[in-house]
Amino acid sequence: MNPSDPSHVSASAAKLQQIPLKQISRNPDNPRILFRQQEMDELLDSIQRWGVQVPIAVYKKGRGYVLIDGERRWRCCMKLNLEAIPALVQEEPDRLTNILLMFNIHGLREQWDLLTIALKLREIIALIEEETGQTPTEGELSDKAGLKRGVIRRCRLLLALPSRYHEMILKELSKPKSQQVLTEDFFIEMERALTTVERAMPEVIPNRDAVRRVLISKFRDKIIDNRVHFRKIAKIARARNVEGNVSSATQALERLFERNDYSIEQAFEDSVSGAYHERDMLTRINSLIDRLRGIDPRSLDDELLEALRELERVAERLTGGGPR
Amino acid sequence: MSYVLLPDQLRETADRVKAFLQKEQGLRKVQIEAAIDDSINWRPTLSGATSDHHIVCVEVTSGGYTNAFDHAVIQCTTAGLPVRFYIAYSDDEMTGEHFRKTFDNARMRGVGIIEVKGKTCTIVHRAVELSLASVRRVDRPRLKQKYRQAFSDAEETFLGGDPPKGCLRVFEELETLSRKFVQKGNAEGWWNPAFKQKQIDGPWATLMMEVVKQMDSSLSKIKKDCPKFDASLITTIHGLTKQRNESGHKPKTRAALIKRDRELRTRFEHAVDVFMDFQDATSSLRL
Repeated sequence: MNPSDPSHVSASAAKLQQIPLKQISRNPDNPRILFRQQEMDELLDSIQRWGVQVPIAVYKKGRGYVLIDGERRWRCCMKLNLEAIPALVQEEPDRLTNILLMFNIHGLREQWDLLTIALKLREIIALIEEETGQTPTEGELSDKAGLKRGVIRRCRLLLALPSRYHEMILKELSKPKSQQVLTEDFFIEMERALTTVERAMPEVIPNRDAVRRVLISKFRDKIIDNRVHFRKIAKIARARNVEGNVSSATQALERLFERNDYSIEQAFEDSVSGAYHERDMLTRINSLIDRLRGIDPRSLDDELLEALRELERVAERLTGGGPR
Repeated sequence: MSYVLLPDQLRETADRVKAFLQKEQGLRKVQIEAAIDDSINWRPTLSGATSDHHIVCVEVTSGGYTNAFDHAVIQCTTAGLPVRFYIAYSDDEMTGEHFRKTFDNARMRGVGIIEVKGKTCTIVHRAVELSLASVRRVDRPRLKQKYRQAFSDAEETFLGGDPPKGCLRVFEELETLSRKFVQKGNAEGWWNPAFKQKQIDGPWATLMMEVVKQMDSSLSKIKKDCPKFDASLITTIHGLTKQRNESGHKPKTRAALIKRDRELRTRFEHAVDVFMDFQDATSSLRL
């Protein structure tokens, strides 16, 4: 049995009890560090109406108990001045198992904020390294923490950010979701785009942090009005792949990474838009040709036949084989 | 003790309010996230007792006036607890429609509002003592125009934290009206013997006692001028004259304060009802 495998802490052996709230303390390793007021208010309302419908999970420590799962429910019950809360009492896990248990419980339910997962993931990696002497692979981490590989990759992008950006994200996350602007997704999209640019055109980014500052400022000023537009930066950087004009792509990115009102969409339009459009059309035509080759002429109905004749006329006109 | 339940981003605001309560509202000890009573399902962010046994509670929030909080306010009101509840918020947390809704809901329940702007705390709306807040509101349209302002003042004084004075304002109106009634009786020849001016201006209780004594012989004459009049009204008013001069001692414990506030609520409501009945019964006299 692997001690860091959370499955060795058997939930079936846990006992359901009503535990006085004052005997419970929060788990210092809980990755959830943000408790948004709106969500807490909704839970308060629900508990007041219906009570705690799902027991929390705790382990015994000395005379009290420590939370494994259910800090929001525990906080709400405290706020509502209730005496006790239903809890499943489990055996005390070691620290790594403790964190992994919390990850696995939440992996099956609603997700924590990604940055809070990322920050705790760093500790998990350190604890596994301490225990096994080896850095866990992405697959091993995924197995133990119950996280998808994609989530782990996204966490790593966030962890690679300088810590001041972590603080910026945490501050943003504390706001109601509708008011969040510089979200984790924003930084992930931006980092992915910058990584692609650094690989394809390293000369365009002499200082990555300076470029970040410019892009954040443009996003705040709504010069960049959608974080998905960052994907177009990566497309510009890959101009060579679509036989686009590399020189104009380089110039567009250089201009984009300076303080001005030049937007991603404009940079895309000025550099590789035509090349991508052409490639897109070529892909569609090739796909259509492939499909048409597989058709038995006898199976064509009148409507399709007429459409093919129209296609022939247009193609002849474009290729010079017919009237222009 | 530090905050456990309050979100991190609100702690600075809470600390400012805590200092405000201590320095400017005279609370010696401000507790953090403590229960105010076992029967109340809420632990306010800050709470403290005043020297006259009232409890001041402040809920620091960015979420406004929520259902769960409202439930706690109703519990305090129903239990008659001498609590003044405030919602405190940082001015950059709450704006526009959100603020308006919070303000309206809070005011409706007697909850006050504290705004924190930079380092300054301001009471935007003063809280009503919840032990008094459940008092039945005066039915102003039923009052003659000339009495409405006086009764509005009485209610405001009552809810504003001085219930004995609020009651006194109502008794004063009732006393004035009943003296006018006796004076009118002199002019109409209801009384035998007629009241001397000295008696009419004398102690209210003594005067009403005399009116009660004369009621058997005077009732038929009064009824002629005032068909809706009922003799039991005079007996009731005489009963209230005892309460008129009871300024009440300052309660020495919270339990005594709760009892006093409960009695004053009943007294206020009863006095208003009697005044309205008396006003209606004597309306034909144009007093």
